[in-house]
Amino acid sequence: MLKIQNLHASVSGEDGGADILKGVTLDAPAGEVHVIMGPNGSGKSTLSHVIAGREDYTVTSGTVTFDGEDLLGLAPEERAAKGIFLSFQNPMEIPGVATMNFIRTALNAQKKARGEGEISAADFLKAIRGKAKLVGLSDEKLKRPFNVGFSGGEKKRMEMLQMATFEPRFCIMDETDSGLDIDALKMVGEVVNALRDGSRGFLVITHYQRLLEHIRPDRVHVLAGGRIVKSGGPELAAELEASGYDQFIEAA
Amino acid sequence: MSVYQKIADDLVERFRPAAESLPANDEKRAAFARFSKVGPPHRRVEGWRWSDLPAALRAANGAASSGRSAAFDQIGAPSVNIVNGRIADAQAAAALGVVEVDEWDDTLDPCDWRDRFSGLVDLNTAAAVRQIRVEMIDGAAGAVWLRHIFDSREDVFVSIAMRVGNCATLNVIETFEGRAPFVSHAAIARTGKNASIARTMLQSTEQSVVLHSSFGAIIGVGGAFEQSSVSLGGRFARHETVPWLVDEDARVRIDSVALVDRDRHADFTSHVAHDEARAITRQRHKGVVDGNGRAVFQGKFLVGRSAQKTDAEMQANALLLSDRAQANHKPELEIYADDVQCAHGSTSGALDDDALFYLRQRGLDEGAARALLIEAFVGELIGDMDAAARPAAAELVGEWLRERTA
Repeated sequence: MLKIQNLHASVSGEDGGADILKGVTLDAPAGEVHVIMGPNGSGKSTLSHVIAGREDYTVTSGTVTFDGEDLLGLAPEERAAKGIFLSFQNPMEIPGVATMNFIRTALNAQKKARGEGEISAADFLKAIRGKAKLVGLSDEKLKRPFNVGFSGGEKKRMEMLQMATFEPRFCIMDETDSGLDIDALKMVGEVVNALRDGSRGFLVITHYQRLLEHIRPDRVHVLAGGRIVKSGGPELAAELEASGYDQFIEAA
Repeated sequence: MSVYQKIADDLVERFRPAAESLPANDEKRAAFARFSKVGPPHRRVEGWRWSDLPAALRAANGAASSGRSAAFDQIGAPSVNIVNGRIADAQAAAALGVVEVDEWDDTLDPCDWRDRFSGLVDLNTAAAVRQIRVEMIDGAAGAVWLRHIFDSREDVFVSIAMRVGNCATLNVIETFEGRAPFVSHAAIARTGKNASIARTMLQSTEQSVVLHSSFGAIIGVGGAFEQSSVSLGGRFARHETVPWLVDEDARVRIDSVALVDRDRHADFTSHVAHDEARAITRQRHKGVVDGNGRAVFQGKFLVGRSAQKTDAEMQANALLLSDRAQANHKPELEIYADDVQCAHGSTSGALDDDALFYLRQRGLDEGAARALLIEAFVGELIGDMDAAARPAAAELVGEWLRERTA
């Protein structure tokens, strides 16, 4: 599904700026949940933004393909239409943008790009009300401008609401669990598990083992110094929780 | 003779034929004399630094057109068509009920608050053929839409006097469309006790228009003045708003939106004078500028010695969409009372890259993402507009965005 080969990337516009990603290689097949852990500044968020198409980063070498198709040449919206979804670590507040209207516009833009028919207002309302219940956002919250006045946890719920509504083929979750209480973590697990039907892929970036009690990962990778320095099964996450990243910082 | 004296003299001579073609009238003659002596605004005159009227007038030409704004069709209020400053449908004007709209021979004279207006109001007084009178009787509430249509090879002078009776509410919508080489619009409203006037101004004239508009309002005890406006600018478009809170407990809200692209210019200048205690003023300006456009905002709060407990806030925000786009903000507070709350804020910047990426990650293409953010930027002010005019204002914004992405 998502294949990353020897990916190098630096911040755009910085002359001779050092690469933040220094040769990331990762293969996340359909149906699997891959977890990326690693110390602060190791390039986890950069990796998620590069996959999603943020222009602030320049790919200096390497490839990213999705179902064998090159992703790096595509605009962010084209990647979204292909089914790449990024749950942002720090979701934006966008004053003046009506939440429901925006989500429906975005969903229809994706459908249009895929050559699918638009969803009707009635069908959309029905669908989003159900998902809102799942992620724990009230009707009143959905009527506010996008994320305005939301707590950190509510913003993460709004990310999960969009993920559940768009039903993307590949979900990148950038520290979705940070700042969430136990009930909210459980909710994130429910959203992911409901989407887990064997055809979708997941890349979960996290600092903590806790979320993995709700989402059973297939593979765990340690990203340090811009490279994947160790990969293993679910037991690796528990091992990291116990021993920390020091060993990898030295190795990188 | 200095270059600016020459510019001022040229302005006077440009307008002399319009003023002298009218039947002799002492007040008009006196007004033109004042305009000639102290009135012609050029860039050395305070408040006209960023808005170069003489240059715009030199480029003006006399090609008439019949351009109409389709967005205005959505306005839901009884209308009076005013073509080139004259009421075109007297029957419609007569059928308005509680609001009376007619024409008479009178002149506009701000008298003792003249110095808060530009000299162009004197010019308007001198050159307007007739005056349009809008009267709202005591205790009544009603709406009227003054649809100003310009289709002239000559300069147009529109003069309006409004009176709102005690405990009355006048909801007035003024729209501007079409073109003339120069459009001068001046209106003064007087309100009784506990009376309120809500004005919506939408300007969608043609690119080449040179337009100057002044709206003065004297607000009595317990009265309210609310104004919302959208301007698409022009070769030159300046809107002046001059509320005078002569009594206690008055409330004022002034919102202005400017959307300017290409070589367009939009200027919102206001002077809110608080004379007595406990008045509340809220002012918000949003300017969106693309291409070589320029949006000027000059807001002044004057708080007199007796205006204790005044509560006044002013906020101006500009969104610059191109490297050459310009916004000039001049917030000004002049305060003589010692127990007041007055604040102002001003920002300018480009569209937020983080927000753009977020929207594109969700599937919106770049044009749609930019349009959504621009719409959101002005959306709060559009949302607070009078319900009868709001759809037309939203459509003006939509048209402007579509024209840019087409």
